[in-house]
Amino acid sequence: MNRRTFVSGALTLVALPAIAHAHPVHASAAVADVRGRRVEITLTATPEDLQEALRRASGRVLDIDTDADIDALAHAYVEDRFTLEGPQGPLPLTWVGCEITDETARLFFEFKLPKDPSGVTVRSAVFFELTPAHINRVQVRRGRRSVTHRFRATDPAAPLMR
Amino acid sequence: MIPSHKPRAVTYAPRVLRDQICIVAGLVLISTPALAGSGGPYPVAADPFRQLEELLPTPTTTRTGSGAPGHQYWQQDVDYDIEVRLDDEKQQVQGHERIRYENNSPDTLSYLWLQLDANIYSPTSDRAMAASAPGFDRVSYRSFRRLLEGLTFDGSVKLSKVTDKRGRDLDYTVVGTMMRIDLPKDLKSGKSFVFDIDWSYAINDSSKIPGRTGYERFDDGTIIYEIAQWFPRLAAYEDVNGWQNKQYLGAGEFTLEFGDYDVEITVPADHIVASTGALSNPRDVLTAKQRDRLQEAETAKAPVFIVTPDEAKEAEQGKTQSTKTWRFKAKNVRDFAFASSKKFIWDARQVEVAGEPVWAMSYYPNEGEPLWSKYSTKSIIHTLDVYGRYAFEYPYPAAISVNGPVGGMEYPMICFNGPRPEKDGTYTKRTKYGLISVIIHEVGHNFFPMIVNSDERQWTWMDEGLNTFLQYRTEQEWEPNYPSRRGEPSKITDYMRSDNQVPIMTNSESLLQFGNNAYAKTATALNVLRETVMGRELFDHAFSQYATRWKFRRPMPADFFRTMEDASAIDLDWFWRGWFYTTDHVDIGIVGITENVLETGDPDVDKPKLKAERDAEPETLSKRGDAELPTWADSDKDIYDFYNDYDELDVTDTDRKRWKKRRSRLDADEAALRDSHKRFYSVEFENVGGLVMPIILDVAFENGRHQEVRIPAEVWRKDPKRVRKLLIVDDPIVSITLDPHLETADTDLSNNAWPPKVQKTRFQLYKERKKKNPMQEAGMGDGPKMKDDPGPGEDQASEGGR
Repeated sequence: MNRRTFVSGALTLVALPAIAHAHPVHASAAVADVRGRRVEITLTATPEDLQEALRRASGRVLDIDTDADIDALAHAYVEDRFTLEGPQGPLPLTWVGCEITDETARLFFEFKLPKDPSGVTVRSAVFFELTPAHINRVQVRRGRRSVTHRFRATDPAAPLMR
Repeated sequence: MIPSHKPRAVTYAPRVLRDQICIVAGLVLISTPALAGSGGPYPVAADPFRQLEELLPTPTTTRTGSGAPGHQYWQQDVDYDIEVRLDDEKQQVQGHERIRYENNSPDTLSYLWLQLDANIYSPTSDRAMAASAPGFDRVSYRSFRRLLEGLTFDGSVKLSKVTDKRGRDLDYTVVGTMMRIDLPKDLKSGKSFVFDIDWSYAINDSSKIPGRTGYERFDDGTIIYEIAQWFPRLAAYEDVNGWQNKQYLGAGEFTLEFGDYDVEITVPADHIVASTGALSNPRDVLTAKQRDRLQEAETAKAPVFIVTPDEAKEAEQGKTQSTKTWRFKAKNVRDFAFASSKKFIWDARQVEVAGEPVWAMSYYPNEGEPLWSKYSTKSIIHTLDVYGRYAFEYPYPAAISVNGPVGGMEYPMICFNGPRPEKDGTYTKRTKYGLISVIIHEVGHNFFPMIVNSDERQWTWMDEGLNTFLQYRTEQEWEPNYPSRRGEPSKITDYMRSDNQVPIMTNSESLLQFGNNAYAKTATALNVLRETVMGRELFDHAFSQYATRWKFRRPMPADFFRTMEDASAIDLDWFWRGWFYTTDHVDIGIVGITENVLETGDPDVDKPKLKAERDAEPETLSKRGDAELPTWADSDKDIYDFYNDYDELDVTDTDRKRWKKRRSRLDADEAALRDSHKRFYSVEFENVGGLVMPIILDVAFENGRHQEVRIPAEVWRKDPKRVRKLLIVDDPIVSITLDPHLETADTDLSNNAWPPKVQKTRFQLYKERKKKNPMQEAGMGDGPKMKDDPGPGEDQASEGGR
């Protein structure tokens, strides 16, 4: 039997200043190292993407190199857009910090997996609001095994470990 | 026990067994081959060295096997006379063009294809219809506005006349972003056809519909126009693919035919126009003061303001109903673009290139200051200089950089660049270098693909990749330690090691991760080719040969691959195959090391050495436990005999006599070899990533000396998975590091060292750095107080769940 599900969603509109934003990369890369029950994640992006995303999320002009609250804003942003979810719901994210250079922005955070991690999904929806062409790669490494997920705005989640 | 006359061998297996394994090897002097495959037969299809002939097109009379244009190379010529009016009230373009199409091909043509790129802004364009749904969990006002605007804005081309030169209507059919004109009669080889088109279209507001062209409206209502891909342009017809009439979907840019342009641009009288070509009526459009300043700029050592910031501010306040017509002529260009605004500051400096004057000029609003006047024109001049040395000397009379709504896009002689400082005039380091880099990149595109006319709608890498490589070189020549984002091999490793990639040799519209693939990976590949595989001199010669051969012509990928080999005498098929045709990555690891030491044969030298090594062997647990165990011998010494005192490693007269006898049988050469004290290290490497690459080693010796060993990629010819290489050295080796200068884009450094080193992840390194407190380390803390307050370490990291 075909069943069509209608889901009504509240569309959140965010005000933002117009900022010139152009480079051809449109991709972020995350490495998720699974160590026992911990997942240590390093998310690498272009600094312009992070700045633009935080500007949009906060609704104000900011500078990721100088503003004092960038760490907190980045934490909130990542918490909203990068999730690990188990059968019991979202796993709590532990923020470690961020490191921003002229060339890259790296965000560090971790999760604790449940005893049985087989049902955990990873969702990376960072920067999709900047351009529909954006792609997020998440490479999950567990010992010598490695699998890379590629997420688009239309398909931002996958089982953490295949 | 080790027989005294045999060499010893020690195998180190760092990845599997951490302990040394002693084995006996029957090595008789120099008898181990330098290269020994270990993996046995492998499928031919997996041979990374198999020749590219199976993939490259067969050479023809238009394109030779050497990669040069053939003796019958041809390409079409298309000349344009255009009159265009910029409607500043409605933000529209209205134009008339007369096109002269010369059929230099050997073929007879019954129709012509033209590009109508503005049709991409139709709500029913292929791009709009093919776009996938956006994520809807959180939408910005801007994205939402763009979404709605895309449904209603129609910027497509409205054709009002398509006639031959006598005014007779021509049959035409519009197919998306392409238009086919059916010729009244076949156009034979060597003949030309002249026709006219009138058209108009609405210009896109870049804040709502971004693109490679558009306008930007400022808060006070003033506008900057950057107008590109704006007139019906002849599609390329070429020897390999025929018509290049792939639809314009947004990612793949374009290739066009070279020709001469005579363009009259009518704009509001208070506008300043920047354009492809040379201004041919300065007296009609420039003030006497502006002309005087241009004359001053001809010999100036620094850029001169033709329109000053104050004059631009003043112009912004005014309003005029009158117009001026700027006339530009351009020879041998493949496209034409312009920008227009009353907001423009204009600075210029003339430089000499190959004995010819070239205008380096920048146009920008006051919102771009002070950044633009400080860096833009200087960046242009620097780019022409560096690219001129790597490719060919810049052949056009102008190179222009314009600030407006387009983030970065190139056209012949003119490019659009987006970065600006903050409203208060301050700017970050990243904005500064972002501006310099984008100007270098876009001005550099004059060389690739505006002059070396590769086809970006088909192969993005052929211009973006080559250009990004030269951008890197140009940045490095701008100032020491320029923060280049692409070019260094270590910067591509994250991308290279991931799966879900496509090869560089993928059509532009099908590329995944456009920037990483076509720009960064290609630029890195060329950098690796230059620094590690070919060497700078050979690479530079071959690269410049390619650029010169294909200057004002249309190369294909094979022409590049073949020229680089033809001009260097290096078979690079393996390199092109690995880097351009596969998604393999570089990960070479050290599997094991076998040390073979040649014994001298002299018992007075060898035996004490062996004895010392034997005595240094660890005591086993059983022996240690039995050390105090009472034995029979404690009470009966009579059980001892000759063998209880005999040590086979004690030197005897018999040993010395035998040695003397053997030594006397050696001739002088053999004796010299015997006395050479060489050490033989057989190092085994594994190719984990699949991409074959040279093996670069830093070998550290016991005496503190280091030696760099560079083994060409051909070492993998016999077995692309595993190879063994013999190092013959004088001193004991204490460590070996693979790829010590990070020059091969090796994606996993954890298997690059012997003895193995623990390779920390970026995450671990960051955590360690974060735990450090420089004040504590400098002894500036309060001692116990700091101890009780551990600071922001792992345990105090903020928890989620807000």
